[in-house]
Amino acid sequence: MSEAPKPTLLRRLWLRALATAGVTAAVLLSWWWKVEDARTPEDAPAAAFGAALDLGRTAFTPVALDWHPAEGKLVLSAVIENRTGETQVAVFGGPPHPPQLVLDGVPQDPPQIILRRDDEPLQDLQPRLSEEIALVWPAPPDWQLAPVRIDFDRQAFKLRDNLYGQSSWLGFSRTARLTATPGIVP
Amino acid sequence: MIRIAPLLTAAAAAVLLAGMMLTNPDYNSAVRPFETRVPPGETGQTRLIGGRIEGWRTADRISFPAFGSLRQRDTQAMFLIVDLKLFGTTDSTMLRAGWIGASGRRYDTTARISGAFLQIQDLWLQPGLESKAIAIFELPEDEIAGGALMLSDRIDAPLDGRLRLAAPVDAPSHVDHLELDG
Amino acid sequence: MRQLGWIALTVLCLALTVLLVVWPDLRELRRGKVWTVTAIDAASADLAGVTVSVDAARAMVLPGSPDRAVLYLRMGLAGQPETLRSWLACDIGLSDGRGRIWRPLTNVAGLEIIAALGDEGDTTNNCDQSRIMAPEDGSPSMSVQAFLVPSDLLDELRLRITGFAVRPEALSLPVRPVLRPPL
Repeated sequence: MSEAPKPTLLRRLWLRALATAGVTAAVLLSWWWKVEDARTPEDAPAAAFGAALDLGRTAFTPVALDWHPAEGKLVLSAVIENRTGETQVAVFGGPPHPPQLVLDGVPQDPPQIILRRDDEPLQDLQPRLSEEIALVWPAPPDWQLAPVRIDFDRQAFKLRDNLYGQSSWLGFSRTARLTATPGIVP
Repeated sequence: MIRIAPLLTAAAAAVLLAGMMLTNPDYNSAVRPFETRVPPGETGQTRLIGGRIEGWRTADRISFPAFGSLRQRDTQAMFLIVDLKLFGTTDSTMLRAGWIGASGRRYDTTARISGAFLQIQDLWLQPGLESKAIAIFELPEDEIAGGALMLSDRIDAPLDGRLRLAAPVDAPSHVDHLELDG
Repeated sequence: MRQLGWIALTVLCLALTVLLVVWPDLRELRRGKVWTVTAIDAASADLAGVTVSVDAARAMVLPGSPDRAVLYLRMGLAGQPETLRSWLACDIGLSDGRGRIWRPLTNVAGLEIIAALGDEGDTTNNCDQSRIMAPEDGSPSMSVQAFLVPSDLLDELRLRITGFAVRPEALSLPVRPVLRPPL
């Protein structure tokens, strides 16, 4: 090795170009993130009774929303079907993201999920067997009948996910929003 | 002639690499339990479990005692009850059973029936001891014939053994209402 | 000759890389399983600073099926509470000459066996509970467990005990159950 030469003009220019490129990339990336934020709609598409929603592991069809004033509870009746090829314990994904009820802008606790056939909590769902279920939320004591909102989340599935091509269930995204006035059940 | 040799080497390497990439199995099919396939009516054994199918039946309705009262379960499809004789091999083992339907879908033992006598999910297999067990599945009728029972230890760890017992040759007997003991 | 040197270096680096990658797995394999069992023909012995003792063992052949027996075992762990806690968890079972292992029953049947064969005022702790709740003075902390075993092996069975953090070492003690007439 000979004696180290003084950095040439080219070398100094190259270093500066590299630094400029880094800054430019950072600026562009943050700008693109803003664009992405604007592109993702805040409002999920509206859901309707009788139309199936894709929640990832299951297809969920809302049937009716009822208000039981005597018991103070809101009940969403639905039909749910396992879309996977195996028995599902995590019907609303893992960690569970069951439909979320929002009353006057306040998200409520997760509902109790009842299998109508047994009138007992739903424990698992077999493939190809769609079941009628009921989601039961206790309403706050002072709640008055008004239109309510229910948000649905879908969990994404990727067949070949990582370096090893392992299939996995990934993050949740808002897939639909149901806005309805509950029917009164005396 | 001298120039062609390295080109050929590079091409061969590229073909070899492409072949490896295309035939590389994905994670789920490469890392999974070792399956022992057992023909109808025969006894099979893996590292922790041995056993065979003694018989099978179907029912539209099942009643069983739970917490002192009789419970009844009906279904829009069919209940399949598989009678098993199992034995432990080297270590006490808790079990998991699934029915691989004719379509390839996997039906685990139903959680809707729990507390009946000899249910496989409650069984603790001990080395050197034979045990009877029943596995109850809820599934569409067309999944029954041509299916198979999958038996594994509760964790069903990849690279451990798993028993796949083929369905019996003769059709299952059917009852409308099956009463199970507690 | 120079090329051979490079090839040798590559092979050496490969071997080192393999060793580096495999090392944690080898350690895990060593820790995950019992590899060396110390068999002692006394009622008590030491393992990793803890004195394990078989206090009482009773067996009963099941009246309905004479090929199987239930076994009740009361044992004690004596040692410094910190030492006992450092075991992380009990790895306990009955073993026979062929290396088969019967684990303690943790279901309702196990409780019924303990109730039927145990003494009045027995502790209800299992091995892990006795380990965590060991007295400060280092006196034996008792535990009870129930097993379901083939009845022809009753004379042969030995207690094999170790802790998750003590593996691959384990201790083997004779059980010698007293046979009770069927109820």
